[in-house]
Amino acid sequence: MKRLKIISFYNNEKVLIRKAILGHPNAQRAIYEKFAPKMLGVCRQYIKDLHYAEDVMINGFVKVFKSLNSFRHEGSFEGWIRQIMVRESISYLRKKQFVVFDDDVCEYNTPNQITFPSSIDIEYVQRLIDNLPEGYKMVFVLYAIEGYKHSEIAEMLDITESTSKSQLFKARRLLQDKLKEQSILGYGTH
Amino acid sequence: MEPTKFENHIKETFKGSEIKPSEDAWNRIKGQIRNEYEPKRTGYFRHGIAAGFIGILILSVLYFTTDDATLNQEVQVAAKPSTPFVDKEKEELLKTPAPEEESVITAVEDSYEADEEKSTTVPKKESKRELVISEDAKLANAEELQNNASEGSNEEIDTKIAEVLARVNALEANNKELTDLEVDSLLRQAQKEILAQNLLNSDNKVNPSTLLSQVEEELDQSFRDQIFEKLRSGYNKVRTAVADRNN
Repeated sequence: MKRLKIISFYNNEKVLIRKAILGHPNAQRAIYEKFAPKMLGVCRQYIKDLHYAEDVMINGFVKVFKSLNSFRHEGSFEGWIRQIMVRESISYLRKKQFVVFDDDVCEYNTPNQITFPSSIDIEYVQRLIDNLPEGYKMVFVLYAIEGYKHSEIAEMLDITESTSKSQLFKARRLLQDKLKEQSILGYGTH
Repeated sequence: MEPTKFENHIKETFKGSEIKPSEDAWNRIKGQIRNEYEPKRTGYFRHGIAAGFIGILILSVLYFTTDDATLNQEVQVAAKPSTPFVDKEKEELLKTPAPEEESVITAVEDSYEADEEKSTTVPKKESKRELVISEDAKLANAEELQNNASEGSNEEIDTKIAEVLARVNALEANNKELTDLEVDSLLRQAQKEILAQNLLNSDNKVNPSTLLSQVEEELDQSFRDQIFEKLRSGYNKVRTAVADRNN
């Protein structure tokens, strides 16, 4: 029964996509309504200003609808849209802001043990990420939240894998420091 | 907490995060994607217009072709009463009592038969079932018809000369002197008969194609004059030959 429902939903999504490709406004609207809030959340992770994040999301959706016929139904539709949004956000940041990836050699020491409260406020974490330098932030979000590998990040951002790793290390350290400062961490380093 | 756990915790925190877009966002997307889809729609619209135009063209061709067919039928009906006139002429010629003309009369009969055979062998051009006939094809058809008509008319001319001679001889046998004008009028009549004969095929029906070619020929009077000249020269030759023989 459950399986039937899944198949039905999948078929519905397929029908929806097919109709959207043919230019049916209702199908396009349905796709937008379904994924827009999540995608604005994705864009917001990269872009501090919500209005700009929304602009990026709008451009992302325009690209989604324009290239809808290139979607091969091989992966999830949401994942495909999400990928477009991530690339659009990175493109925006690289165009509008000065993104620097410092290539300072880092010592990848064993990270400090940090404790993290279970009921952490999402807005607070978002603020912490927002305050990271753009280069650190992009790599951190791509790696920690989106789950990309360093090789993929290196390709996306046109950097080396070692640069990607060092950016991530620095981002972690900065976040730890911030959390210490804000006394969200129960204990410091062990 | 290890950094990976820390990252997993953040990932989990952001997993269900949603932010409602502003009301205007969809309108902005719609405005941009409409431009993408509109050209496709106008493409379909143009295809529709083209298809409609082709449809109208085909219908108009069909309409005019059907009109021609009905016109041809009307012409056939109208031409039927004229056939007895030709038959009467033939009977009169056969009845004409002139001993010298027996050979001429038989020649006339033969030529009539030959004409009839010929007219049956002439391919019927009226089966115009094709929707579109190019102008070139029409021209070629008209030329062919004219050739056939001229070939047939040569034999008809000879026959008519014989007929005219028979009449002249008959009149002269009755001690009536014929002027050149009277001979000319007889020749004119023969010319008309030849033209009328050309209009009729073996079934004594008007051949619309021949009619068409006749109409075209009327524009060029030289064809008529040609027939008249042929008649006249043929008549003169025969008269001279007869006079020489008598002398």
